[in-house]
Amino acid sequence: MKTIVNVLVCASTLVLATACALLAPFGLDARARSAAAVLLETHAVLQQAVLIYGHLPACTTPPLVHVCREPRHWLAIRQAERLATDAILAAAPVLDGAAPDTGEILRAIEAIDALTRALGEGRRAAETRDRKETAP
Amino acid sequence: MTRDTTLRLLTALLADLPQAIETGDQLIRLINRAYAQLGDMDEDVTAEDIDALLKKIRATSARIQSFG
Repeated sequence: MKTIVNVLVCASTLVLATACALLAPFGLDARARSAAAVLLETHAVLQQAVLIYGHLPACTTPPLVHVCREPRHWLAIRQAERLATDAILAAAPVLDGAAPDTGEILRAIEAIDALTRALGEGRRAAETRDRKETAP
Repeated sequence: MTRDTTLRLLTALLADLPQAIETGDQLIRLINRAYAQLGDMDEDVTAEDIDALLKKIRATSARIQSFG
């Protein structure tokens, strides 16, 4: 399960960078809309990573399971997800070409990036805990 | 493969993620291939496509936020 979350975060980061590169040189024509779809799919992939993390059992002391969800990181991830979704919904009229971009797309990209970082911090915390548990 | 087919592949992949994916390598290969194909396509994405994606994102977010 942890591997899946790790790979989702890595893949999403890669795709987010691609989406940024695709969006940058174009106006919001049909081609840019295609890039916008990639950006939205990226967020949808990240949301799946969030769902997977959310389904993990909560961490306990002493640990009862090998892979678990830390309440502090879960709170941060949920908050980042909400902010990213809000930013995307605020950018919706721009993404479908109904309104000019006044910074909404950049804010959405930044919010998605913040979600990626929150998931990454959760992953690093899990790895650190793993090392402590398996240390001799 | 058309953009729509790719989107369907992604949707199916993500819907059944824990069941469909055996290894992380498998997942990253599938996602990279699907997104590379998306990026190469010249077909137009319609406003309806964008709306559908936004609805999916909103629904998933509601699920996430309903978690305790």
